[in-house]
Amino acid sequence: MSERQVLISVRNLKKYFYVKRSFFGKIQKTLTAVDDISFDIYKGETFGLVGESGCGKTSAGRTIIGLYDNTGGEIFFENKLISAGSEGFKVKMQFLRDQMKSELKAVLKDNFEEIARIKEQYEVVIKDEESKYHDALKKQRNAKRNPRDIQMIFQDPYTSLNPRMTVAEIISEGIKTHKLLEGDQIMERVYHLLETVGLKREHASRYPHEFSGGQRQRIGIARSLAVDPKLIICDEPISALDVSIQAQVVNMLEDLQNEFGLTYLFIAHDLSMVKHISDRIGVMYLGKLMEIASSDDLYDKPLHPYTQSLLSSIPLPDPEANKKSKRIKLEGEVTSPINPKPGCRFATRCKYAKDVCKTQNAELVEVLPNRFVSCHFVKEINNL
Amino acid sequence: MIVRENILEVKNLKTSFFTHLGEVKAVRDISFSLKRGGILGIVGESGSGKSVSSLSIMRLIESPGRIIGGEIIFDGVDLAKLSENEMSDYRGSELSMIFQDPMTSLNPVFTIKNQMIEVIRRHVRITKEQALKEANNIEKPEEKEKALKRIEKGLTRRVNKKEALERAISFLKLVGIPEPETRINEYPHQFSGGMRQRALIAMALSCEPKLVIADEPTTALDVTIQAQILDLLKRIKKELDTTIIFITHDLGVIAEICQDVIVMYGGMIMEKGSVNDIFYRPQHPYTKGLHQSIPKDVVGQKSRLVPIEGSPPDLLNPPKGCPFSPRCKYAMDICLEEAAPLFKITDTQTSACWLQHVDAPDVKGFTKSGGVE
Repeated sequence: MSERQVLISVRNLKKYFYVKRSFFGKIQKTLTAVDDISFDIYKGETFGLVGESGCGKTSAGRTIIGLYDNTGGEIFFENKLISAGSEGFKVKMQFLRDQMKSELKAVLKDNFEEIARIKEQYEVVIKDEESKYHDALKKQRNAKRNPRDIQMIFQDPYTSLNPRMTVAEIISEGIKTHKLLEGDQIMERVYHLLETVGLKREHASRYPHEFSGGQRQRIGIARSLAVDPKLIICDEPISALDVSIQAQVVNMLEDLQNEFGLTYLFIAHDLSMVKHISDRIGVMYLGKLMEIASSDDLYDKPLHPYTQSLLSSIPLPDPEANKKSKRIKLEGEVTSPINPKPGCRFATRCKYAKDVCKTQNAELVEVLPNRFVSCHFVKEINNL
Repeated sequence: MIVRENILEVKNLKTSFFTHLGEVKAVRDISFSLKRGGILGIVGESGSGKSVSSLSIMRLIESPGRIIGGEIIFDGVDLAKLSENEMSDYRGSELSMIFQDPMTSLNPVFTIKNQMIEVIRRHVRITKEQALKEANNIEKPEEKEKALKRIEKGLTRRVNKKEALERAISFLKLVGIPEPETRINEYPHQFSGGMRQRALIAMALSCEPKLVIADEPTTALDVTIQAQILDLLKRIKKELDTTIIFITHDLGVIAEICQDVIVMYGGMIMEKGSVNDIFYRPQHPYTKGLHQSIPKDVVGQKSRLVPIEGSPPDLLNPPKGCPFSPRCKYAMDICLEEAAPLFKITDTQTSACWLQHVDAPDVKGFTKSGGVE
């Protein structure tokens, strides 16, 4: 796959939400929605991002397009830096200072030696963070995103279209903002886009409430295509639609990809549809990537224990196959992403978990060609 | 008491909503029967009438909706003819319902304990043996005689708070909630999504109903939790010998849990059959279309999905004939004029498509039927 061109490269992306601050702004609770994930998407492919609700897949998508500020990490689009985060370092500095203060408080006031030792010890680390913070700030200033390159299709076709705008206004908004076309050309483009997504010219002057869910999703797709994007982030584009309409939209997305050479980041929880549409898939759990593999490899032989149980819990539309298939049951539920414990995020529900898993985080490692897994015992579990 | 084979028989049920735009015919003349101890799946898209038919069975249709015709015979009693007071004796104790969204169907201002005990104390009476034991402990002879007479008539007292609490805890234990003794005192928001659905199931089962209607109970849940809940329902069906109607739009879930399946579209039944009939020998063009629009890729090869073109019917002005005819690629003249009756294909399977009529043209994949059900 080396000859393939990387379109977007996500490096150590972090998105934290500071859910509880004290009166003086001290952070008490941090929700780690996305915690240090890295992946590449190649030009022209569909990269699926799957996981249960609350695993951070939507936050990842929204941070990539810039709807959320980046807490840490970098995003490169066609090898150009488009987003860098600095807030993470700032927060870490604050955290270290608070920790130092509390340690100093514990020491007796006249124990100067000890006070000096602690101060010195912390100053080195804080300085290090500070330089990192300034580097990141510099990068952040240089990072330039061209909003045309990345577009998004949202989950809910009922709330993602402005009810006060006509379809033509919705679709042409981006064209006008970026001054791509002028005068009559704009409407020509709108008509063309409507026909591309399987709607009619006369729909242009109508309002969103006059359309069904499937048709609205088509309008959303036409809007995202209007500015000739290179990457489209599809955030659960079909989960609000009926089964018979889902297939229509999926087929259309595939056709558009072939026609315009689009690249998709496809975020979904419907695993069978993700498998159908994606070339490669990343599996997320509580803000971390557990496994990245091609969709065939992943469904044929999942390597990470979480992926194994996730895939085995999909009920198949085939009664006999269901009877034969062995379920790997997961006990318990997803733990809270607020102030997570160190170690592998899946350790609390994993039946293979050992002491290491509870203390040490597993890195995403290429265990087989083009298969990345973050598990300490992946080789033992799968007899590799 | 006679034990009937069919616990529920729905005959020509029609439910409509009278809105200011006109009559919305949500359920248009459906009939089916349900065997005791099975799991019946009702599958359909939004607006197909699957939820409205289950709400009709529970008599939970609220204004502007109304059941405008048909019979709902539950264990020999026509529920459609009962008064609201009589119905509330049935609801919860004989038949109960599990809803899709556990957050909105639990009351947020009461603890789980409060809500469970309310249902149990409304419906559950103590057993005859227990009542006899209590009566024997009464010292005054005339009071004792009165009590014994009441027991003979089958009138035992309702459970008290303590007994109701014990029962509630035992059902929470049954559905797998850890430490039910302490967790029962919590409010719904303190439970996670899967836990809330478990609590709701416990509540629905707490009076040991004969029939449970589960309306998309796993749709709001993650797959791993869905698998847990499906296992739970299967186990409960076995342990308590409950009959379950399972409503969903997910064919995978149907295949996993149901024995019999009803496929609904536009307020009508399109096809009925055993789960193997529906999945391996579908006869109706809509059922076939549904199967083709879900991905069934084999590793290494990708097949293109075959969607059903068009969109679901507008129930304000439904198509004159078969509701599926505007989207059906086999549609004939008669399909636009008149809806097909349910043709009998085999002993277990019926399908409402004119292609099953003896005089219909031969089309590959469709079996001609001997007659109408």
